[in-house]
Amino acid sequence: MSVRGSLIAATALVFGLPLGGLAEGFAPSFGSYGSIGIIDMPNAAMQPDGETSWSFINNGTSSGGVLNFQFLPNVEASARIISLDDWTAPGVAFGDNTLDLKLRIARETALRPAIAVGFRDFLSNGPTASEYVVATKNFGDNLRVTAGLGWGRLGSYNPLFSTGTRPPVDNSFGYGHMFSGDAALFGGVEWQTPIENLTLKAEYSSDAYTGEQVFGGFTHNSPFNIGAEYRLGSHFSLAAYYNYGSEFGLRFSVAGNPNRPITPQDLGVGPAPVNARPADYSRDVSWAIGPVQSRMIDLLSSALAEDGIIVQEGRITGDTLELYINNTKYTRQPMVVGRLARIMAGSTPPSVEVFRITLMAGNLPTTTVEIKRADLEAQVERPNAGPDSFASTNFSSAPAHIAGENVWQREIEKRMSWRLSPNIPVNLFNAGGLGEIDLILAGSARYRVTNAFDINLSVTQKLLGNIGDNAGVNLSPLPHVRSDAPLYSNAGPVVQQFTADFQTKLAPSLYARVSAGYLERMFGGVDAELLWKPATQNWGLGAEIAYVKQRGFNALLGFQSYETVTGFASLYWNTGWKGLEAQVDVGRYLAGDWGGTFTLSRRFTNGWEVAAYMTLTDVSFADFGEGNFDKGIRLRIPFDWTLPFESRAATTINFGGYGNDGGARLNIGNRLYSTIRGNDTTDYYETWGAYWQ
Amino acid sequence: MKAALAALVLTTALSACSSGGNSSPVLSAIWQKVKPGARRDAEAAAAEAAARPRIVVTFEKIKDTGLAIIRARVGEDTRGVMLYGRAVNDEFVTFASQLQQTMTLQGSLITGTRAIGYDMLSLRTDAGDPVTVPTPPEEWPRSLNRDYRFTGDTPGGRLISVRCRLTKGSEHELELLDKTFATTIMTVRCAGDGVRFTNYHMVQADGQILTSAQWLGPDQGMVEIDILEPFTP
Repeated sequence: MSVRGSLIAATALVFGLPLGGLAEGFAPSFGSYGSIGIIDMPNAAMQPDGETSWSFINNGTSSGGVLNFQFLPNVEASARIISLDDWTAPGVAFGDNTLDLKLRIARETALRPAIAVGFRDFLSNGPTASEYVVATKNFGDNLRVTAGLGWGRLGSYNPLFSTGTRPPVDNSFGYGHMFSGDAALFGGVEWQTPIENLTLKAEYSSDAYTGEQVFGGFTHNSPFNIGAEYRLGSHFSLAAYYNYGSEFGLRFSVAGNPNRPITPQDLGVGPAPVNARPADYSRDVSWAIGPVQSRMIDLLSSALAEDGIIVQEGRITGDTLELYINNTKYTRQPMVVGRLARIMAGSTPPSVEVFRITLMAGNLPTTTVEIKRADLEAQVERPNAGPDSFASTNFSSAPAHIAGENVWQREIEKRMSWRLSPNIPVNLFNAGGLGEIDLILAGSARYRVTNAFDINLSVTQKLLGNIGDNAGVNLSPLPHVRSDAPLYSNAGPVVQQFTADFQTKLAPSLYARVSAGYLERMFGGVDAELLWKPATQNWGLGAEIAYVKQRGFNALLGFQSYETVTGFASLYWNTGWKGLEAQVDVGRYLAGDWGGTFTLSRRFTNGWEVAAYMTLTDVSFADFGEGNFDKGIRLRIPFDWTLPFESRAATTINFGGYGNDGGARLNIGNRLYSTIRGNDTTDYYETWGAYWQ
Repeated sequence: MKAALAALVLTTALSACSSGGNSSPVLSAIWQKVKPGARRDAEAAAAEAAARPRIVVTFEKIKDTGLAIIRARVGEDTRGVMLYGRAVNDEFVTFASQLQQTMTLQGSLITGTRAIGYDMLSLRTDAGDPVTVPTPPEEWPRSLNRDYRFTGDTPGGRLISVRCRLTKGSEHELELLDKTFATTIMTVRCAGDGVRFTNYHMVQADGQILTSAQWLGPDQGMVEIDILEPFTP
């Protein structure tokens, strides 16, 4: 196998390798690219699993933002949104959106350095595309030494040898350029100084910075770069560099880790204690006749509402209590199941032996969790209660309604509901001026016709902001399905959505949805969706089709002439490994282009979620424009990560997917999988520790 | 830079209101602190509390309640919170505070906590652990094993297994409520799975533990408990 082949094979294996050894030395820090590294050069160090950061960088030749994420213990990912000064022409910057990956293939041991393989601008032959193999060794607690071999940009200064001919930079998608062309050595040292939190760095760079020198006044005087980093607590760091013998650079990073804590601190109210029934408890079920049943569920429903558990349907027989509930409070579903089971055990006659709890997502019943009361009593407070309880609990797909007679059903108490909230969209993909932001007041109202049928209205009013202010001439050769976004960003009031939505279950594992009206800010029409997702299965299939017409730029109603049919077949797979979930959507996008979107997300036990996606369609990279194809990262941060009590509120930040016509989908907020996800047995397995909390 | 920072801060802090009457918990908490009259209310409440006659808790009063009672102190709390026996499951007794914070004890060993901070799910210890069964100090074993479980990403949660060495310390005259007890300080030093901690127990000659400082986990640290009235079947 060639050197190239070996390196690519090694990176493919890294996900499955059982890597031994111990990490040593002081905490790794970011380089000037916002990824873990020395200054411009990478190293093989890794952060703690899940560590997430946002860095603002200015290297003298480029500036921008970097979202860095330790996706797995041995995989680091970075989404970079940078502006390369004087790249296209004097005074004309080039906006580059890239995905960087670094895979550790060997941990550091007493004798061996950590070894990693990395890619800048992964799968794209762009201006910053480069590949490297790097080794890093700590000596004592204060010194870290790195040496590596780079290709692409990292092989452009003083090359050592060559592995074939590297194609010229053309922003093309693929892997043909990887590990080809000139290869050069780089290296550096990092020293944790006696001054607490201060690290000094020096490196020899193998980047010749050729592109920067074509049009700009930049001069590459030296391959040596030096820098200093100061950490402010565990969340902030500030670094300054003197690079290339000619430029100063700065970086500021904000970091956090969704694994700290792995579950939120709980200073609220603990679960109800459980006392086992006496051995000779009454098995008489004659009490369960007549109105006593609905009266009991009435009382239970009122009590549970205080704890954010809304009972929608209920039925009690002599030996079984069944409830359909909405959880409005607890982040982890097993926690509400466990607490509810304890309350059921404390509030029902001893003859009730089976508790069936169905979690609903909106008005859709998802999974039925069946718990034997005797198991609960035998396991509570005992060691090993977690594994024992999961093993003794039954999970099944829930039917649309509780079967049988005398089913208690909640009346629709308030048909009309409304909500007023601030909305803060951020456009980080305007490469010219990083950081366009709006402050928008969003009002929404819902009229519930039946439990399955809603009328929804959403109106916004821009209060202040600059999104759309820098809109240039739209030269997209595709139908302007998204590239006219700035023209839609008018002050308002704006009708964002005005739809009739119908959701139901056609069978215990089959969900359906139809939405019609003004589906989103830019399109209106009819959108229908089916999802097959058994609760005990970690994968599901979906199909969606929509006929839509482009809405007018004006803030209220009206359409333009563009109309299209868009639709997708989707595969959803909850891997059950470290919260990883994959989704593939294949079909026809809004601009009439055909292709697919691959999304990989990781959900943490405490509700954090990071998702990276990429879309490839039959639109050429040239027609697509900046970035060549659609890609981005979505970050969801639950509020209870920072609060000492349970809350299901969260904020979502999107990086990418703004303003490109190729690979554009309808923005539908209530797609079925996103509505019901988090409720299959794989999810319950991953969060079952909360069952006893 | 400013834009993204502002977005993060504002998104977290700003409120939402709805027909359900829900508002941002962050803003609600701030509002409770700054709303007109809040300071006066707090001062009045403090004055009222100071004016109340001090309740002196004695063992006799504890006995009169007929309840198993422990007192727990976490962090910098010096007064402690009373927890009352609420549930019995074999040898595991669950105590709960008025705010439904719970602590489960096997004998005098804390085997679970809820809503006190970072929950300890369970604790398994060797049979005959002298903290679970009253054992005179001179009969304590020299070592034992314990398995702590905390929340994690599987039903088993995060397991921390430790090996503990038990040593007899000095005699100590313990003042507890209105009484004084002759006790021996027993030390339990545990290490394993990347953690290291020491529990202390003040033990009477008959093995009854009156006061303990026990580890509740890597995030929670130590808790002190006084067993004011042990559970008796």
